[in-house]
This record gives sequence, structure tokens and C-alpha cells, in this order.
Amino acid sequence: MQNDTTLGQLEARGLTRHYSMRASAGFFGPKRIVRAVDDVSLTLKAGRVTAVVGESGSGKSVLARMLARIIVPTSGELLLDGTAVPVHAKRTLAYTSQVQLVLQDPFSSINPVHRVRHSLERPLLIHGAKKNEVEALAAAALERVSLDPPARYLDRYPHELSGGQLQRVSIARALCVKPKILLADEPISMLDVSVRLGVLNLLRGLCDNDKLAILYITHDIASARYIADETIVMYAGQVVERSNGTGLIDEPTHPYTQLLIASVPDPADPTRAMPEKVDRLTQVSIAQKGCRFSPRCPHVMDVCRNNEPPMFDVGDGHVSKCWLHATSGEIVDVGLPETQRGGTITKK
Amino acid sequence: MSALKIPKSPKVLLGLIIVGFFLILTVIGPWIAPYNPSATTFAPNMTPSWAHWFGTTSLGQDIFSQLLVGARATMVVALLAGLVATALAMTIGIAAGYLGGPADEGLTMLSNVFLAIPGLPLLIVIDSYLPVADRSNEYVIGLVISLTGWAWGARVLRAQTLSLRNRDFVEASRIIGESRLRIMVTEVAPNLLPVLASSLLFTILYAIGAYVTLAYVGLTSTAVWNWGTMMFWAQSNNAPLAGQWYWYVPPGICIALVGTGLALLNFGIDEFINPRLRASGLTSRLRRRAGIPRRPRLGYTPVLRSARPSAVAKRLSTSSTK
Amino acid sequence: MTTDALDLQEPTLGEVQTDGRLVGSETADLVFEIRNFSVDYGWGVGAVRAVNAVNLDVHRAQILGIAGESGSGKSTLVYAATRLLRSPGVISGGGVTLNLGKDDQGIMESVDLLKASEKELRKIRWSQVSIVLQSALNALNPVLRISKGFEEILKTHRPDMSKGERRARAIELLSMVGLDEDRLQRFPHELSGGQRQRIMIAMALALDPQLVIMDEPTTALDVVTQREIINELSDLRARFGFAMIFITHDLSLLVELADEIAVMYAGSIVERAPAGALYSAPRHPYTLGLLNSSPPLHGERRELEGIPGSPPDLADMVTGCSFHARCPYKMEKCVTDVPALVPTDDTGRVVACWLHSGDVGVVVPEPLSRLVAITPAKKFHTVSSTVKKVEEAS
Repeated sequence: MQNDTTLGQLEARGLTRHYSMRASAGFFGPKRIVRAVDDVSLTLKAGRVTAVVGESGSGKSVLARMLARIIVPTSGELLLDGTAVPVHAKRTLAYTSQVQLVLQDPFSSINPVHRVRHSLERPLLIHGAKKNEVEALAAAALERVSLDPPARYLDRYPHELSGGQLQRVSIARALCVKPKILLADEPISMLDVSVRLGVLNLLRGLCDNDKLAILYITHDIASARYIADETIVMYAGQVVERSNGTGLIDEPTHPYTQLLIASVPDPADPTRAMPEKVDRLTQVSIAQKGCRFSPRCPHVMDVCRNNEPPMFDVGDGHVSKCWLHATSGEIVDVGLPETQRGGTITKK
Repeated sequence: MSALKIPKSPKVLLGLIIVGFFLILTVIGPWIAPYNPSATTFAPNMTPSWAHWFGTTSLGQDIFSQLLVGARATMVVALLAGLVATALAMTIGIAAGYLGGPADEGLTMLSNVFLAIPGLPLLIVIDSYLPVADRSNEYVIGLVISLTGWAWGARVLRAQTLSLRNRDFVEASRIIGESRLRIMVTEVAPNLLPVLASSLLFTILYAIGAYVTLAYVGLTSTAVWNWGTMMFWAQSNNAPLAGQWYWYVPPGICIALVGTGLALLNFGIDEFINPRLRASGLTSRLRRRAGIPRRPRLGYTPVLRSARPSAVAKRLSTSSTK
Repeated sequence: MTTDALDLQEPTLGEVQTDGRLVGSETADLVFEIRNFSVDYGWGVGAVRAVNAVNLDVHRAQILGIAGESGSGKSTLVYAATRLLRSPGVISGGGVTLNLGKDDQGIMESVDLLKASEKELRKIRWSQVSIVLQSALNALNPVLRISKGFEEILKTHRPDMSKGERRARAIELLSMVGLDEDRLQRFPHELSGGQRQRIMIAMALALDPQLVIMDEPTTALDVVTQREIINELSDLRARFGFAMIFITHDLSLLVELADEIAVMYAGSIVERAPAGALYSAPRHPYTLGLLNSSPPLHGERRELEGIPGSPPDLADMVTGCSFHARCPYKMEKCVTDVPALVPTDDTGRVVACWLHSGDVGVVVPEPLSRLVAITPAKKFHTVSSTVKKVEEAS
């Protein structure tokens, strides 16, 4: 389906989004800045899946929307295929046709009063398809997401389809504009467990076969491990750890990543150590000064409370934003490791 | 939308019948009226008889014919006013809700102004400024009425739109690059159909009341027959004092019936919106037989007392022998 | 009670043995019995069966996990069993008994929940059976302080407690779930999701019930908070000995938390077994599929399949086994005949599958005929040492 053979790349440099809110109601409360996303840089490359793992409040959804340009960043740059994108100007149709976003809840992301056909036709028509081609293109999009035969689905209403099928329709809709870059914001967390892998396999297939660049946002680190070529962990709006392939899951170096991995239910390893209980002095879970994770960190040091740590290289393209690596790693500023090493999925 | 089903609820069915009846009357009324309603050829002040089902006025006009002919003007004005007012409400409400910002503030202020001004006095004032020729034109009156009837619907639609615009599918439409106008018209508005329908019914109700009142106080031309004019004449000829109930009661009942019918239809829309109220196939006879109270209390799930296993249970328990 | 060769500490109260029974519980008292229980939505011809002839036992100090996806009937089951199911749900068959404990003469006092009057139900609700709902995060009254919530519960059920005693009990309950006394003065919106859920659990335990039912209590929480709450639940269960029914779609979580797991599909139980045995040696193809639907955290990365198709539409019931359309091991018999729950060995585990019915000529596929592995005793108390050392890198 991909007529255009040029591959896509989306690079984000220092993307930041702050919201200013009043701490208490009324006109006279002190203003508080909520740093939803703070200085995040990443590169989405064709044929690679980049996974961003974080809990709610980590800023991952705001990041996705900034990449899709439906939220304007407070600062930072975006480069599409090497060309700078004017982030403060209105989003162009050309950008929309290159970068698409799939949302989390399949039941509410498709208009319930229209048939599936309508939801697929709109993006096709907006992006220049001719009226007589639309039917065939919509059917082709459904086949691409394994909804076969397309005729069976085109005339259905959303409430007649299951969650997994709806999410596939949602992905098909995004694919209708023929994007090079597909952003997926928690695409499987609202689906039944047994259908999740099907959708993950679909995303992986789009990446491998059609060379899309995919951003996969999730709170489930195991699913990130399943399809990612690069994994990024976010906490409180910042990237705290990043590695190629599954490096950071096999050997987590940041205390937050370690906490995450120790907390995930893993019946295959019942005797593993449970996460350490940290005696918290305050209820605050995100510090405003210094390392944001310091109130919850079992290895917290004085320097952590006062100074925000830079990103340290811990080897093999694996970086970690933690003072514990100050002696062992060199500081890595902005930019990504160039190594392309990463695990590929082998079929059993 | 999915095919319209004949509603099973007795309330809605009754409402449909009533409103349907009067709509038919609107069309065929003047044709089936036995006499010319303005003709004063009959004996005045006659009580109801076979020749004159509702008797005659003090001028010798047949009341029944007046009723039938009057249905048309009343209903037409009410429908017209209702439709125009709802169209206005839709445009202003959805735009205000979706666009937000200064557009929203401006439009909301506009609707608040129209809401605050009392409708009927405003109508009377506007009407009294109309040239006499226009006063006899039902369409102009209808438009004037719609001007005072849109604000409430606009507020309701704005509130609904505000909640809809945060739904994912609206965001998804923005993501694929849909224009704002198209989103409002093709994505948001269809989801508002139940509220729109309800708003329309209420506005028609209001319009009937407004039109009848205008006629009753004599602000519309008496050349056009409508139920309000009938009551105007009845009042000015002291019909209540003379005991001529057959003059002013029938139009009053007709107005009340139309209102009731519209209100019952509104129940139907409520049921349509709330699927839980749509108990498909769950008739009361079956329910009583099953031993379930009419309104099961929360916290006391009913236990079926039927000794016979249901058809479902029978099929599910076939075969397994162990 | 056998411990295995992996040189662990002696099991203490609160630890689970390989055969799934809790060490230290006095007897395997039966607290909650559900027999042949069926629930429909609607009645007459249009009725949809949501729960079909379910049998379940819950013992004192046992955690029973119920796993299933949408349409499995897991939530409907427990809401109906406690008579909390909303219209048009009706109970169409079976019995539910709650055993309250032996009285002075040693006779077991029990309540038939389906025959009880509203007054009786109100008495036992919360004092004997409490339930933490799925939307518990929003179940706290937003205009009342937390202390008020506790007040209401204690005033209604323990009218002879004084105000000071009530407050003391509230503080005690909060500390049980690891919260400070100052949380009492807060409003719900001032607390995080995890804290609100902990308060719901504290309220559920306020009257020392026999049975606590939890419907997806951690689904809306992040993984770290989930882990903390699960650990706390285990500790509390060990301390107070209440029975718990834990409902979730996350089978891996249940394998770690529950003693026994019942897997539900399309309104019926398809398999029930001790947690370790279910994980290492599943017998039902659906259980196997569910276990394979969770990508592993370690080990070689390879492509997994999940289960083809979608969870069933209950209004559209098929003949025979409800899973056959999605089953990789389907036989002819599966399409026409409904399998019953039969034991697969003598440990009490049961499965509803024609593969295990002992029919002549049926070969059980390898993944469904593994031997039960001996798993080490589970530990739920937090360990304060061995988080992976970070200095390895240097």
C-alpha cells in the first residue's frame, strides 16, 4: 500500500511542556508550574519500535500529543525527515499525513453514530483520495489490519464490534493517510488480555514489513519488552533511563526502573526480591528540586536532593539519569546513542 | 441510524397517536370541516347537536369547523417556530460549546440575554410593532416566536457539546486533520440527536403556548382561525359567564392534548437515550410470572421463583453426563 | 507439609504451601458456599445467561482468585451472590450460603443469602461480608471527610461504641493499611488513587468480616502501588484470617497472590486449581492461552500468539463448549456437547474440557498434560536487602 518509498524519521529535541496552575482556588493563590514533560529528546526511525514506559502522570501522553502536534510544546524542536517543523505555527495537513496517533480507548475513539465506513472515508477524503477510490482504499486499510473480509466490517456500527476489532479499525484509520510515523498511546491497555498480543503483533508487523517508525506508549513494561527496539522509561516528565532492545529490562540501572520491574507480577520468578519499602518522610512522590525520584528512592544521597542528575552512559548505548552512576559513566547530554544494536524478534 | 422501531412502551405509543392525530388534522382539517368557520349563517348560541357538534358561537358560526380549521394554523405556527428556534439553538449552542474562548463567551452572553428577558412580554412588544399586514401572516408570527424560544435549547446543547468535545473520537477527528466546521456538523451534532429531539419537542410546546396567548390577547389577526382566536372570541363574548363551555373548552382541551402528546413522546426519547430503560421483551406479564417486583430495589437482587428452568438453561445443560 | 529442596526458611503463618493450603489456619473452615448458581439478565425468552451453574467454595483465610475477561461473568457472579446486582439482573438458580461461625453449642450458624430478608442482608452486609468495588476510587463521598466515612460504618453496625472508641478504631484501621492518622481529616480528592483504595480496604475490614470480596481493586492503579497493596492484603489476611475473593483479568497477579484460582469463560468456570499448579500445569486450553498472553519479563524474545478471536457475546450463545471457536485443540464433540467440570487428579482441581474427560482415543496435548511443578513457598513480606546492586557497573 505504501507507494512512497522514502522512509520517515521524526526527531524530538528537548521537548518541554509546562502548565501553570494556581495552587489554590481564587485569583490570588500562588502560581505553580506543573512540568508535564521536561526536556525529552528521542528519535523515531523507520523500521524501529520505540517504547516509552511510564505511569500515569509521567507525561507520556502529553509527549505523544506534542509529537502529533495537537499540543504545542512550551519549548523544544521537532525535526521531520531532518527538516525543522515550526512548532508554534498551525499544524499542516502535510504533517498530519506523515504522523498519526492512535488513542487508548477503542470504544470512545470511533464515533458511535457512524458506520466504520465513514470513519475510514474521512481521512481518505481529507488527504486527497478521489471519491471513486475511497471504497477500495478503505477496504485495503482494513485488510492491512487483518480485518478480513473488509466488506463484513465496513457497514457495521462500532457497538457491533469487539474491543480488539475496534482498535484495529482505529489503526486502519490512522493508516489511511499513509503515515510514515505511527504513534500509539497505550493501544492495548483497554483490551481484553487474550486479544492484546494480536494487536501488538500487528504493530510489530507494520514496523517490520512496511517500515513504519512506531512509538509505543505503555505502562506495562512486559509488553514494551515484547516489541521494542528501543526502550525509554519516563518518570515525572523526564526520561530517566533509555536503552536499545531489552537492555534496561534485563539490567535496570535506575532505581525507578528497578522498582517497576520488581513490582510487576512475574510468576516465573516467585523468589525474586520484592521492592524495598522506603520510609517516606512526606507524602510527596515527586520532588521539585534535585532528582525528582529522590523521595521514593532507596539509594538516595544528599547530592540527589539538591542537584538534578544528568544522563550518564552506562555502556552499550544504555543511559541512566542517576547520580549512582557518576563515577562509572560519562555524561551524555542531548542526543541518542548511534548504535543500532537491539534484539529482533525471532519466530519460534 | 438504526431502523426506527415501533416503541412498545404504552406512554410513547399514546404520545405518538395523539400527536399523529393532530398532525393529520393539520393537513385535512380544513377539508373535512363541515362548514365555513367564518360563516355566520347559523342560529347563534346553539348548544351541541348533531348538526353542530360543538354548537355555535354568538355570531352563529359553527364551533366544530372553527376547531378543525384552526388546527392548521396553530400547528403550523408551532412547528415552524419550534424548528426555527431549534435550528438557532443548535447553531449557537454547538458553536459556543465547541469553539470555546471568546466565541463561546460572546454566544453565551447572547443566550443569557435572551433567557433573561421574559418571553411573552417581549413577544407582545415585538408583535405590537409589526405592521398589521404582517400580523396576519402566521409565518412571521412563527419567526417572532422562535426568536424568544431558542435560548434555553442553546444552553442545553452547549453543555452537551462541552462534554462531547472531550471525547476521544472528537480528538481522533482532529488528529486525522478534519476541519472544525465538519467536526461540529458531522461528528458532534449527530451525537446530540436525542437532546435535539427533546429540545425540539419542548420548543414546539412553548410555541403553541406563545401563539395561543398572542391570539388570546388579540395581537394576531382574527382573519386567520386558530384555537387561540376561538378563545379570544369566547372570552370577549362572555362565554364563560353564559355557560357556553362548548365554545372555549374544546380548543383548550385540544391544546392540552397536543402538549400531553409531546410530553409523552419525550419519555420515549428518554428511553431511547438510556438503554437501561429499554427493557426489550421484558413485559410485565412475564415479570410477574417470574416473581420479580416491578422495581427491584438496589441491594436486593430478585431470585426467580419459577420452577421450570428457562429455555437457556435447558440448552446449556444438554449432554454432559458426568 | 513438604517444603522443597530450595533451602528456605520454615514456613510461618501467612505462607502458602505447595498444595495451596494455608499453613496455620485452624481448620479448612468453609466460609462461603456457592452451589449451582445461575444469573440471567432479563427474564423469559429474551433472557441472557451471564453466570451458568457455578460451584465455588471459599475457606477461612483462603484467597480465591477469579480470573476472566469481559463477558466471563466474574463480577456478575459476586454481585449477584451478595444480592447487589442491578436490574435487569436476576438470580435464576442455585444457592449461596455464608457460614458465620460456630455458636456456643458448636453448631455452625449460616445464612442463606438467597432467602434472607432485606433486614437480614443489611445486618450481615459489611459486618460479615464486605465488598471493595471496581470503582472504589470513586466510591468515597466527595463532600465528606474520611473520618465521616468510618463514623457511618461504625455507628450503623456498632451502636454501642462511643465516639472516642470509634475514632480509635478508625486510626487503628488506617494504620493497618499503612496510612497516617492525619489522612482522616482529608477529603477524598486530596488523596492519591492508591491512598483512596487503601482507605476502601480499611473500611471493608472495619467490622472484621468473614469474607472480603474485591473486584479489580488494583486495575486502575500503577504497578508499584498495586504491588504495595497486594503485599498489604496478604499481610492482613495472615493477621486476621478472613477469606478473600479477588477478581481480576490479570492472571499473573493471581498466580502470585491467590491460593486457588478459578478461571471463568462465558459465564462458567472452566478450570479451578491451586495457583501454582494452574500456572505450571494448566489443563484447560483457555487457561493455557491466557497464560501465554502475557509476554514474559525474562528469557528469549519470541513471537507469541494470544488467543485468536474475541471474548464471546453472551446474547449469542453457541452450542457445545463456549470456547470451541477459539480453541486450538477442538474436537468434534466440543461443538455439540457441553463439557462438565470434572476432576483431573485427586488434589481437588477440576477442569471442564473434553480433552480430560477420559474418553477413549483422546490424547491430551503436551502443553496441557505437564506435571505439576513443586513451587517454593511464596513470600509476601517485603525484603529489605537485595534490590539489584547498582554498583556492579563500576
